[in-house]
Amino acid sequence: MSDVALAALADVLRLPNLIASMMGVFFGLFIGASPGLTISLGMVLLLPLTFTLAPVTSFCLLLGLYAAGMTGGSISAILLNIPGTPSASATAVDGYEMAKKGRAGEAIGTAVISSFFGGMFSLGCLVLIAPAIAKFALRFGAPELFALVLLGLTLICSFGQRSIIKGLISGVIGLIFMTVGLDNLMGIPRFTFGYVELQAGVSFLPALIGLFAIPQILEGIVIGVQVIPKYEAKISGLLPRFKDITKLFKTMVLGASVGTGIGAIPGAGGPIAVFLSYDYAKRISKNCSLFGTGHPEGVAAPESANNGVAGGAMIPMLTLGIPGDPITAILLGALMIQGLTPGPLLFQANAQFVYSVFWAFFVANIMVLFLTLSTIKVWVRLLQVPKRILLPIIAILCIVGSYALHNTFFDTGVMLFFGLLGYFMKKYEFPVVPMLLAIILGPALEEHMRMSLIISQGDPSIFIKHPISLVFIIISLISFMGPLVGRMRAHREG
Amino acid sequence: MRRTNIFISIILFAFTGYYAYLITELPTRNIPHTLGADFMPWVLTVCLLLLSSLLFLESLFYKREKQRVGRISLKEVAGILSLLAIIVAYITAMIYFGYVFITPLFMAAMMLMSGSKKLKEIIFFPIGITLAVYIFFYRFFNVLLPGGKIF
Repeated sequence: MSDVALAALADVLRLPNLIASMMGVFFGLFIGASPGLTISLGMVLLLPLTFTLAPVTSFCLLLGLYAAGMTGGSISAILLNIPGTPSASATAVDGYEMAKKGRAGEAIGTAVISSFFGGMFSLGCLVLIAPAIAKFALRFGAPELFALVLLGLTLICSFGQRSIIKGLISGVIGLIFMTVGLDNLMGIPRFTFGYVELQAGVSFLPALIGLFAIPQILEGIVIGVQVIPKYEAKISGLLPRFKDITKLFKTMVLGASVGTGIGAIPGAGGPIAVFLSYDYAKRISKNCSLFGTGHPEGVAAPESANNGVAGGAMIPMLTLGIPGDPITAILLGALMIQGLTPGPLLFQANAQFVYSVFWAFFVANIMVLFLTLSTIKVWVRLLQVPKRILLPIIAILCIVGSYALHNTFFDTGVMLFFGLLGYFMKKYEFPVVPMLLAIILGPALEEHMRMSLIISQGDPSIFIKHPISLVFIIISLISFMGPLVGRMRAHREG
Repeated sequence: MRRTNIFISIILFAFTGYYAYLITELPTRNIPHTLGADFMPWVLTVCLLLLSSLLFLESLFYKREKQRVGRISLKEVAGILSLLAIIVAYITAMIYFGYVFITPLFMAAMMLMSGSKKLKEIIFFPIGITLAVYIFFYRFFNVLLPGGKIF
């Protein structure tokens, strides 16, 4: 093992970082297990805490949340048949059936162990693949980087679930917000309306908090409090027998491979991975008829895929600076808050930090395994926290968090503005994720495009003259047209 | 939903027009072979105009299944406005009295709005949570919390 990797391990094992990991894991388990609270929401609520922390400590906190949130989602899916996160939907199918038969403990144990396996498998892939991609990406100049960011933005299409037009509008409005502030090349203030606070542009943290958290508060309080059923039965026998786990090994390898592969494809996301792995596991299983009736393989496959996605999604985020889903987009934002530039240069300039991220994810997965199994009864109790208490707490964290960025209420106003916008967007079926992607990637898109055109003295053919850039542009076009063609075909087939 | 989409596309047209007007007001600086500060905004204006037109035409000619989503009732508007009023009042009060004194009142008001009826819950939870956030953010993580002008 290299000196840098060992130094990174020593850093992650420092007490403050271990405490941060543990806090992230506890918070993540709570967020994941609570139906209606998403991992993205948990991330944006914790982001303000990371301002004053060292980069490694803040990533220990956030990755603990990420890994635990993915696992936590299965607790409510198994006990209540309500997936805590969208990625836990497939777990509910067999997990809840097992719980109904009095095997809730075994189902949770299988889910936690499979999640751990998935997390570790994807981490292995991340460690092996990421440095090679980063090394290759070091050859990128402004045209390649522009084409890469463009590729990231075409993911917008895959998030426009109901209407691609609405998804694109959401993305374009996000880009428009990113034109606010001092123009980097000319030094001209744009759309600042005389506010000094806007000269640095729209702060993305208040925007993120607003888009994700405020609609949930407004929905919860204004539309009504959702009642979550209580889980009354006793949970026992959490640890499956070693013999049972070895029987699930093949299923876990399949789930983890599917999860890591799908996670690494920007825009594909967890829900696709878990249902695909469930389907594949069913096809190759000797007991395929037992799927859906409470079969452990039906829990192991989606759960290993679920956590496999986490490591997979970090591959494009760390190596290319392209977020694969909303969670990695927020992680990307966390990197920027720490003054680190995601992408290939991160591996060169901050190699120790990159290794720390790997180790932090490793430690987080181990903590999730032990803390979930040892504190499962606490989480079952916490599932019952009424929303009349939970929502006001979230509201306070949002207001305090957005204030903490620059110690000014201007950012709180920005947060409220985006919150209202997010609420109405949700109401009228405009997805907010494209706006989030545009807010994160917008400035880089404009900067690299203009830099490229300066290099080529205004000749736009620079983007197709560079082979790597051309490849990215072709993939962008395919990625952009794919969902459109699919939608048209589905429409024609009625 | 069709009518709502038509209404939204009209709002988007208006917004695009206003944005285009703002772009024309931007100061210009000519540097050879360099795109001006207004280049990207113009590209985005064209994109938004195109997409708004597509949404408008789609809503006009493409009949989708009837949906009742998207309607906002008066009760909902009143709920949103009152919640916003409470948040704005909280922020304004915090400027003068600071985080520690005002937050329990704000949280109690939010809990009442969320349907909390138990007096003990309304008194003790806000105080406990306020102190927990204070200790966690300010003492533990050194994150500054709003301090009032008076307290």
